[in-house]
Amino acid sequence: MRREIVFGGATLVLSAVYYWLADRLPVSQLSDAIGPEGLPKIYALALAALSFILIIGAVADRRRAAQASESRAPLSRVAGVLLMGVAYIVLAPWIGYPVAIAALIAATTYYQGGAFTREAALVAVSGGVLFWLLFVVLMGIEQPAGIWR
Amino acid sequence: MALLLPFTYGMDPTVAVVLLAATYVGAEYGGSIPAILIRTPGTNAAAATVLDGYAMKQQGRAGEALGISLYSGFVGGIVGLVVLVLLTEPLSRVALAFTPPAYFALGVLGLSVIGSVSGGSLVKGLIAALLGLMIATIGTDPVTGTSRFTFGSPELLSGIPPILVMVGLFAIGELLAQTGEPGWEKASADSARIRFPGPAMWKRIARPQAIGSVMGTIEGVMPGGGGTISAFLAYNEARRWSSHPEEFGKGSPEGIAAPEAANNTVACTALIPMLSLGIPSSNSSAVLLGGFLIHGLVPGPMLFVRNPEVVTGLYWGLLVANIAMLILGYLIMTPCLWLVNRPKPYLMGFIYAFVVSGVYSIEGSLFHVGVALGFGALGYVMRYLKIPFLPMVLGVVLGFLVESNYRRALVLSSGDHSTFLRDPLAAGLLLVAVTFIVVTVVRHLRAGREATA
Amino acid sequence: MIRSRHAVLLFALAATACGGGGETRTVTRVVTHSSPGGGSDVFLREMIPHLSRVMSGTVIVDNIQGGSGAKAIATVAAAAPDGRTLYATTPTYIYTSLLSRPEARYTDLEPLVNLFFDPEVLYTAADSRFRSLRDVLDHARTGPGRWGAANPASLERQVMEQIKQKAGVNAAITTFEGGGDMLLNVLNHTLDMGVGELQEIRGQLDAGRIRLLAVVGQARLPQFPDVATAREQGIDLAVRKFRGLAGPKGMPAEVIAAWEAAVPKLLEDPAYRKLYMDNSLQPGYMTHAEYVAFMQKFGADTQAFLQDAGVIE
Repeated sequence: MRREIVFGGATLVLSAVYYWLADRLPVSQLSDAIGPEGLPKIYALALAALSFILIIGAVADRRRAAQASESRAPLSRVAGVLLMGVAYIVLAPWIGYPVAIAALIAATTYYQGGAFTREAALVAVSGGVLFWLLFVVLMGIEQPAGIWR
Repeated sequence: MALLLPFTYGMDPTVAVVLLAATYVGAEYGGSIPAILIRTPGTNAAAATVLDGYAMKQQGRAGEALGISLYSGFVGGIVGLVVLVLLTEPLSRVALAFTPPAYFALGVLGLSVIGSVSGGSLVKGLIAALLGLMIATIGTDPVTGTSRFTFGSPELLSGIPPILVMVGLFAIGELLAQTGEPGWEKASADSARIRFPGPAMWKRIARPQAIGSVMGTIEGVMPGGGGTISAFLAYNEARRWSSHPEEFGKGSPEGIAAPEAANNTVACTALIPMLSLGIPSSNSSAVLLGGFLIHGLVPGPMLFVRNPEVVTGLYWGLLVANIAMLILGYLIMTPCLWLVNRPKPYLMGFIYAFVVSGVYSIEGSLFHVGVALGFGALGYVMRYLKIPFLPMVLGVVLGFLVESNYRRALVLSSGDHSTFLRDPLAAGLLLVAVTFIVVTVVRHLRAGREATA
Repeated sequence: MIRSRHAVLLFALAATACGGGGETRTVTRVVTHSSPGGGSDVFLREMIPHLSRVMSGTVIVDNIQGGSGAKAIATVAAAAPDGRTLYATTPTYIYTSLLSRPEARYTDLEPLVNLFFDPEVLYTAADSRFRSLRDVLDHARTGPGRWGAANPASLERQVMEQIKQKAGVNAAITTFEGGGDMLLNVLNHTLDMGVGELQEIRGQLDAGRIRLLAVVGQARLPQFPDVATAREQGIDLAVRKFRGLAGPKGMPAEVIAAWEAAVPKLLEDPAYRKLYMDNSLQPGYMTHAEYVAFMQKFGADTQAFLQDAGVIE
């Protein structure tokens, strides 16, 4: 169970950083006996303790049986999906909501194994228009307008 | 529903209130549809519905799950309405019994079900819950007003809204996990239709619905409750009293009926503190309160004396809204079901587009979209490590309630912890919570021993 | 939003019912950090129909939420100073500027005119044994007093801390998330007294469940001539919770003049007067020059308080 050991290590580090941040919170005259740092410190200590338990448990398990690892998408593919979201955040204020949405649909569709067909393009474009109609026209929520302002 | 508010400015107050009430009921119910279909609760209170709702969807029983959810929501809404009409006066006094120690105890009670929604590993569930509690500490400190863990970002000043955590973990996490997985089989025509429960099912889900309605009534009365705690408690109790507890988490109709009845009961009973005390208990009831104020209607005991026609109008509006919910729900679910049965690549694209648009709409913030993406990545990691989401959701939703009332209670008692035992309501709730925790730990230990033996 | 497909449908129905209901395009956009239905939002939306009688052009409300007002301040600070984008001021914008040090602060906006003051009152439950502010203070001298303020770092908190300091008594001051939450704890006797705007306790006051102890302002309120000010009861404290307008820096003189001409007329309008008196608002018109000086002092005082308390460095 190597991945659990890694995760336990990560939460352990997180608890240490979080504790340190809590410890550095400025002292206020308006504070109560517990203070802004009181519960966060308790949470950090509890998380550290649980991380240890998780790591020890995983080490013990490892000796017993090597778990069959399941199939999963390669990390690069997963990162790709996330990147599309990031690209949306960056581009939407420039190219505008309907275009950005159409592009997001097109990219996701293609990435998830769809072919680059006329149908796919049509779906993406109508998706952009549909979402724009739904959110901006019908519900009146301002979405990033970009060049369409 | 905040969007609708401006449209009511020019209307007659009673008409405006009826319209707002109808939207309110719809908004409170609507969160369950995405919870079942795409594993993304649209409201905090719909988080418990994800467990068995999505499990049923995966078994190709989405139509049945939606039917049960709608029917149970309707039953819960009607029960809540009856309570609202008949018991507003006595129950508004119950609301007054809630002091800071009692609110703290209530939050602890909500957290005590963590073990039951942790799946196999209690340790992992607790880790998730702690991460959730930590997320809830981001923002303005409830006592001193200093900012904590915001890294100087004004966007984080009011904290991370729980909806971002849920959308990230569930919806975006699922998108990431589905990447590279093969497409699914076309759904059979049978599962693509809404199926209302028949008489046999009515009988089976009557008990969880009753449990849900009772829990919902209790939580709705307490200002600030919001429906999440009662949905989870109802789920927990429905399992305890069920004759098929082993099906819970694997697509049990009872596991949908209980939380759905609970959160729709809350939608109505939450109006008790709003009408009688002017204190909203959820975001959507806060908007309703704003609608009242704009029309010069001041909630409070005098509302019933000065504007009885508005109160009566509201009751009728809620009744009509609940019936309309049944019909509209049916009409809208069919296209939703059709949508989720499209070829996978298209569906993924549309869910992604829907998620970024929806998250942006909350406050018009691309920063929020980024936060949701971050939780999506975390959700992917948690899925891979089999760390349950729901404890984290509970931590995020309840963390602030627990911390602020814990510290508030101690400020009022000058640091004396016995205040939690001297308040009878707080002591009672804490006792129940401790019982839950002990039972869960014992169950987990026993299961662990059997696994090793 | 994701949560409600029903809302979408109902919204469609509503939109048709109001005949499209579209807003005409803007002349002046007043930005508020308040959510639709929140205090400032309701205030602005009630004012606009009356404003249109004394000023030409259309005024619309724009709710820019997030960051406790930081986003709204930034939006207005970045807008062109042509008087078409304004900000609805309340003390929140000063507190947020000081507490979270956002990129754009209250000093990046130019106060335009003030319209009203929200009277801050001290109150207790009608069935409590406290009859005046003095009773509460006497109680806090002999044992621990329990007082409440709506939000952790706010004008209300400041009022309570200063009363405690000036009276030299021992009181635990608790804060809540908003006035309603605190009201509940006054009604159930968890708190000896609370502080808040008259508007938010109106419902309970009318029902006779709440007793006013003192007005924390310059003078008694016309609606409640029997309630003495804090000053009359021996606590030298008066605060002014303002409601006015501000804009980007460098607004043209004619914009300022237009508002300075319109606001006094607005406040005298009989129909509007009835409305704001019912809502317990005190007219508090200030010219541009007065408002700029007022805001400078308010900001400096608040900063001093927060620094002394150690909330900010």
